[in-house]
Amino acid sequence: MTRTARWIRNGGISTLVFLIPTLLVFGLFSWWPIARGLVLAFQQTNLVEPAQWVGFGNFRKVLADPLLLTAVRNTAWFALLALVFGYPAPLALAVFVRELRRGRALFSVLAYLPVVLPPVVAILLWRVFYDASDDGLFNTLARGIGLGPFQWLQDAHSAMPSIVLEATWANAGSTMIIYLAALSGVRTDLYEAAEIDGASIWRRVVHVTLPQLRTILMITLLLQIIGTFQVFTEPFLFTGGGPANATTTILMLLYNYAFINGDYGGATALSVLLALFLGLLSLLYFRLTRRWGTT
Amino acid sequence: MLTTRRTTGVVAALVMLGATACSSESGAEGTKADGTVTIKVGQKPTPDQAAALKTWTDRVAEFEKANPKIKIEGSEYGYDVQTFQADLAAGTLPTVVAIPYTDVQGLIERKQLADITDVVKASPIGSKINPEVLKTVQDSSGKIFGLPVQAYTMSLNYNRALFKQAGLDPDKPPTTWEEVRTDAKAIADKTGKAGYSMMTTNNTGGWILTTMTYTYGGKIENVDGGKASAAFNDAPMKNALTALHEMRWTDNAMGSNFLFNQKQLQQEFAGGKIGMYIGTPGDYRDEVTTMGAKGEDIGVAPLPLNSPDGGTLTGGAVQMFNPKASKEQVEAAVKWAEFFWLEKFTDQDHAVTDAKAANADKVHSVGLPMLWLFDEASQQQYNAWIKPYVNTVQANFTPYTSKASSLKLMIEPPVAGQKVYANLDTVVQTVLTKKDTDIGKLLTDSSKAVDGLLANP
Repeated sequence: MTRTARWIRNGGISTLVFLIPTLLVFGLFSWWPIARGLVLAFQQTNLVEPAQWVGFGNFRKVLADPLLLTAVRNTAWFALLALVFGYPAPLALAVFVRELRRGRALFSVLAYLPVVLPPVVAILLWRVFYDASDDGLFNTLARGIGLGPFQWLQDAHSAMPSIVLEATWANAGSTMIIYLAALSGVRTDLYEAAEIDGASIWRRVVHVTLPQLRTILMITLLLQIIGTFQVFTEPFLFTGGGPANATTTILMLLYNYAFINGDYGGATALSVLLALFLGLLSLLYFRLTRRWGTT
Repeated sequence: MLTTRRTTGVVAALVMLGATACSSESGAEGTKADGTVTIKVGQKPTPDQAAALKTWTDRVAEFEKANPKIKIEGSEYGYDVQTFQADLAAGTLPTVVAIPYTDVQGLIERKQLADITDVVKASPIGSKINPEVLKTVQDSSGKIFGLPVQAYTMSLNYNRALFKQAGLDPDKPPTTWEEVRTDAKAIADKTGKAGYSMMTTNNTGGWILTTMTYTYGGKIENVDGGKASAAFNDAPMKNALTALHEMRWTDNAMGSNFLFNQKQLQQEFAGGKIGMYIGTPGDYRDEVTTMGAKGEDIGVAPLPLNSPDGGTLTGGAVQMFNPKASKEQVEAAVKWAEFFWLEKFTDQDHAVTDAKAANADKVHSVGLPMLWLFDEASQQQYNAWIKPYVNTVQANFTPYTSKASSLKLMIEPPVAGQKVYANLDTVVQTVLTKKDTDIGKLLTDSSKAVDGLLANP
């Protein structure tokens, strides 16, 4: 039997047939645009006349943009804040819900609710909550405990933390569901053993839950870092990048290149740089954490 | 299973899309052997605007009858900054469609608009357009890249109800920035609302700061030969920013929110939370028809002027022509745009039918103050024709209309306007959110940055 015949007999053709739609869809909607974007990064075009090759001109222009440093700094600040405050939140929520004796479903639903809300609606709502006048909702609440009034989005220092707060609220639910699912896979005898040994909740979390969730925690951490480096919707709708560029992120800069200035070469060059950076970061991350991941 | 089915559906749709793309390719130039030119026309009224759609359909029939060699295809396409470029690249943009005036210069710089100089100059209607208004669609060499179909100047829009509550006379809006400050403080003190507010994000901060600077007799750019440089680091813009700083920090008369784009500010204004702001007379339409403001509460005044050299920034609606269209298509499209958008200023029948339909659909405001496209006499004639169908409170526009003819008209910064605006957004936002701002240093830094970007636009 020839190799081809064996391939056909083993179901090669039906494999191919099943593969084609996926290949087509991914090819057309993911890989082709990525390839086109890569090409565009080395071109200057007004989309009317034929594109001109400009070598690394777009990259030089983008790197010389005085706003780039601001955008990188803001994005890193957002990522850091999200890491410190946003990353542990869903884990804490998941452990909390898991530890509940009653009402577990209700709390899961409540925690997941913000995810169901369309981001635009949620942000518009929070814009109202963040009203910086004395009788804004959050300021009224803050006054109740003797704080404020705060400027929230209207001040260069508090704008980014305010955005992180909303983003954490909006996104914690979906990650929490992942943790909850992973937690149900943790061997209960470990908890029982720990309990018999007299371990507190805190010690059980540290010595049983976290080690068991290690792999999933590492994946969500990487996904979160990649996600936060691409933050756009929140600053775009909350502040438009203000006040005074305090919340202008890399993706907002990219948006301005493409849609405000019509400079697709610059926009794609910047996105290639961002993709390269995130790719390298992921590689480095996997290298560093390879040993920890295996149990 | 569902996923597979969906994937198959997507593939089928794509194959069909490919097929349509191929079939439309054959008629890409839009001209048939017998000389019939087909053009695609944007802004066809949607079915919910029944009266306007009927007028549109009648107009198309009338136009095609008068021009048997031109065939009109309607499209509901309206300009969207996020899809415009993609449509341009894909060739799916209509032959002719409206674009906002603020984007015109950027599109000219990138050569994304068809040059219609010869067609407009040869046309009996186009050649009558007021040269001041025409400037908005010209490049530095005077070539024409769009057809202005409506013109206005920036205005001081104010809430007459808040004026009354604050004990001010709504028929006497402020005419200088000192008066704006006094009135803003009165409104803030007596009503607790923002006396004066301002757009600040998405380049609108730069746009409004430019408008303010003009009223103080200032400039944004110096253009000398082919070279442009920043020209705003002097008294007029400094005074404008100082006025803002005082209203914000000394008087606490600007409310507590300072990050607004145009729509967001309009919503606040329509909700009765703002006393005065600089906008356009056309803002009235959204505010009344979709944002819930009462027409009788909105007053429109000319901009406060603080210098004998003080100028008023103009704006307008512009029809653009697809740079990928053939010469015949562009000629046909200009003819259509003049017929559909401009003839009403010289033809009573058109003016009346249009106004009647706009009035019937309830989503239009008829009788908003405009700057004349041709001359003052033709505008007055037009106003008289549409009078029975006016659905706006004309008396509230008197402060504006009584002064409009004496205003010194200014255009936007000619080189890289939007990028300059982006830079000035930061200036305005800093002044409004940072109490101890050093305005002098802020302007020096911004001027340096703008010089940098103008040297390499």
